[in-house]
Amino acid sequence: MTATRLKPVDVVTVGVGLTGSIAAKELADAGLTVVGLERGAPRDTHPDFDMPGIYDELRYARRFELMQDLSRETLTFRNAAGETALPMRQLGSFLPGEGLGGAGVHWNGNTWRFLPWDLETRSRGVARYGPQAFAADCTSQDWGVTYAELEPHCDRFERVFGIGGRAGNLRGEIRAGGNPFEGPRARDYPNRPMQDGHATALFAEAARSLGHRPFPMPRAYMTRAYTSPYGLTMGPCVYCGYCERFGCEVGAKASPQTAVLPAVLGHPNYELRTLANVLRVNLDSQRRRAASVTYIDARGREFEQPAELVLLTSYVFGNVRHMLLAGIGRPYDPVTNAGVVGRNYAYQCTSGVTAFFEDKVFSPFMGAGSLGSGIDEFNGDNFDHTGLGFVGGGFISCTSTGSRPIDSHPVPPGTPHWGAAWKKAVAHYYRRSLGLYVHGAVQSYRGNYLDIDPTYRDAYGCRCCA
Amino acid sequence: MTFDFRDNERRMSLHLTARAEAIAQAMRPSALSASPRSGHDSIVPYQTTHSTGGAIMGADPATSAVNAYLQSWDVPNVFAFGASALPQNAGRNPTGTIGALTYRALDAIKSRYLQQPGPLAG
Repeated sequence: MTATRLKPVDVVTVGVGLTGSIAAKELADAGLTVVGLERGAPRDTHPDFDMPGIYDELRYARRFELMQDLSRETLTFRNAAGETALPMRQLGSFLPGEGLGGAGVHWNGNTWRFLPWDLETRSRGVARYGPQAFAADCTSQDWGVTYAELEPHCDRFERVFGIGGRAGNLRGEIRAGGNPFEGPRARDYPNRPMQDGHATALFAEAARSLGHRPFPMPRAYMTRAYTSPYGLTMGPCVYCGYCERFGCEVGAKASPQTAVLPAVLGHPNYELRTLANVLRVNLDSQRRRAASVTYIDARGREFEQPAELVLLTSYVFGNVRHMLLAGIGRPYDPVTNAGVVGRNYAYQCTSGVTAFFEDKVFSPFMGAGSLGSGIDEFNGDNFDHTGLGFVGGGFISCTSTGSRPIDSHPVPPGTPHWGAAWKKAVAHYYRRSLGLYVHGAVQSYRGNYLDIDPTYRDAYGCRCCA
Repeated sequence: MTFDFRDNERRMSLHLTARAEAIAQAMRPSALSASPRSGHDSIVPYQTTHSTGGAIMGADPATSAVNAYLQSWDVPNVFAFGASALPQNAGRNPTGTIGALTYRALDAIKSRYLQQPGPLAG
């Protein structure tokens, strides 16, 4: 099919989620013409996330209505290079978004700054423990930017997204009630923390009894009417608990829809095109410059959009896939450890503890995605790793996220897995249990990487990410 | 995607899950269950939507796809924003850092790249 060549613009973004909407706002304000190409449909707080429809746990949490449609584009998975990667047919361990706002719509709102150590993992790790602290196949490295260099930009994001929390390190001064391990921040969060729940308060008390220093987890839920630097006002959270996997019915969760897009959608320099699926980035004959992107619209028509700047603003797999398909950078080869595109894929290493009580009753049906208390004593290099046999760590938290009925049925060990006894235990312990969560780091390794699949293609015939 | 946990992560998970268990015990529960991460990774049960890397940032074009402004080393009018830039993942939800890296890159585009399009590092 011959693509219709469109009028050149200054900037095109491949995806209009969290980063694509921010880029649109900042560059349109700077006087550049920007086109945003989003593969999914337009959607907004009203009417798409209105209650009671948004409280449909089956539709959104179990059938992934706001997320990537794997029947049109999947990715393939394997544990090791010797295996054959197979396609995901149903979403599971991770939930990429699809549609305007991307995963920034159904995200849970936990909004941290990384620790200074996280950005200098290799050099600080070697300095303290020696090179043998890292496994021979570990390819974790420094980021090329330090926390101090990133700090003003962390602050900017926190202001735009209205993050609530309590500073633990204000210009070097450690402040009670905040996270004492965080890097120094120039100023406090723009909003107060949320109201603690019974479970999170109990966790904080228990953590303090062991000498830890719990703090309210920083989060993108408004605790008051807040007007951002973009002039957008977001209202306070109502603690309904339909946050992660859902759009926010009251617009209290900061998202592209509430924190960014209303400030740019009417901008004369910006044009949003939804249901516009980018097929490829086109390089010039020297392969040193991107000339345009080709996309297909909902009617199956192909368009070529020339642009001076091409911003890949998709989820991890989309960005890497477009670079590999277009030949932007040398593909990574795990055998020789040469090449870069696809290198150092990593994830998160999570675990949990569930506690059951006969003498306490909680209200787990109330909450918010990241309403919680956490400790950072065992994160990054905040503790001595000598003799432990690993680098890195994670935060430990207790959150009240609004335990929904289909997904939340904790029962004590030894409970039958089905039948009347199971039902009785579910009903009894729904309000008599709480969960602790470990949010652990994952280092990068030579054998963990992204590639292009040799077999599976998307609905348009383009090869999928592997 | 080719991915699995390594002993580093499994040991970390054992160590931290035991710390979480100690906090839970301090609440005096009647029963408790703990499930540190072990064995191979599976994409079936939900864990987190915190995939990272694949187009990582860095100071050396031999070991990174984009520079510290998220700009492709090879094709300098292409930038890759998002968690694809993270060289490894921390014990953190990454969105705040993705937002900060995006603002830093956009500042460099506005203040330097537009005046003189080309590599911002190198």
